[in-house]
Amino acid sequence: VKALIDAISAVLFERWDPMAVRAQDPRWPRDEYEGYAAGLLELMDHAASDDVVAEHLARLESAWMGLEPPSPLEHRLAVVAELRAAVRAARGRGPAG
Amino acid sequence: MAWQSDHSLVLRSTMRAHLFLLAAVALSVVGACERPEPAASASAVPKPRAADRDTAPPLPVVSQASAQRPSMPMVFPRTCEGEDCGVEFPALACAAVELRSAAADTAPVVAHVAKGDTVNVRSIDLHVTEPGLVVLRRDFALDWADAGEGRFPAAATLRFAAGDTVYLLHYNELGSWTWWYRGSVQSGNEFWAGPAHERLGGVTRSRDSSVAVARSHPWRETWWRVELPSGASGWWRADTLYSLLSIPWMQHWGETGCLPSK
Repeated sequence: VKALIDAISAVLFERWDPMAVRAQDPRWPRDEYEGYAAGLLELMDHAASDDVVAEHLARLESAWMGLEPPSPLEHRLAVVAELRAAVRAARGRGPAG
Repeated sequence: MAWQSDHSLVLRSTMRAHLFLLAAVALSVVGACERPEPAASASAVPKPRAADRDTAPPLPVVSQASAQRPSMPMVFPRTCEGEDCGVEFPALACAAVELRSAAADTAPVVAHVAKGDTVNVRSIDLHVTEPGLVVLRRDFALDWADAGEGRFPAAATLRFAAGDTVYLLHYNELGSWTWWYRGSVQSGNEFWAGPAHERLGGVTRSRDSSVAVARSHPWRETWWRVELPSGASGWWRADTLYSLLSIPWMQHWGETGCLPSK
């Protein structure tokens, strides 16, 4: 499970980053969004559609971070696609989690 | 308040840094905003439902000791919800907007913003118009905080009694809320679950409904104090159509125009 969380966390930092911390400071801790990874993994493992996961990202941005409006839908859907790919890759690398 | 920032998209700190912050605000009191009312009638207190859908024990009878509701509306100046929210930023008018002399729908209109104008948002006030309700199922001591990376000791322990009602006022950040309990405003970590949980922040994903359940979420309005280039200013109640759109937001996401109308 740790590998899955790490994989999701990496995508959140590299591709989602709604607070733009990566551009702000290259030394910013890469686990900035790790706290959201377990919830996202749970959604994906329960067959949530891309739209649902993207909506969850929007909810994190607006309700959790206070960012209004949330990031554009196309961007969030692209993040979701990368999250799914990262989870598949992480599961392929190690024991089933 | 500690969780505010003074400009949009100014990044404050990592979750790690917020752990300390969260502990520091664990027992904050917003004196200017609180004004106790006489005890509310019993009808104002949520009654336990006969059949909750979870497996937790039924709610105890609500105690009258905690039935005192906060006076509404309650206004929190220069406050917005979320770890990265901002209270000062330039904005683009995506629709014509009326500015009022005070943060109230009944206040006279004192200025107009035309579609396409650029304005400066000088402050955001959070108005709580109806508190959310959380009912305690059992005695509980909140002596921890959790900003998403595990629990740590809170700066102060908050104690709640079975049957008491906690009146939710607004969300702070990273799982921290501000609420009204037995006549005082407190802040602390989300410790409840329940049917309304998903609309109440809920990112801490507490599934433990044996402690407390949320019955409703607080209703809030955000009022922006908007300043025109001419120097005129007034208040606008933020809508869900983003009639005024944060320019830092547009720059961050590479948007060149307003959002499509819903």
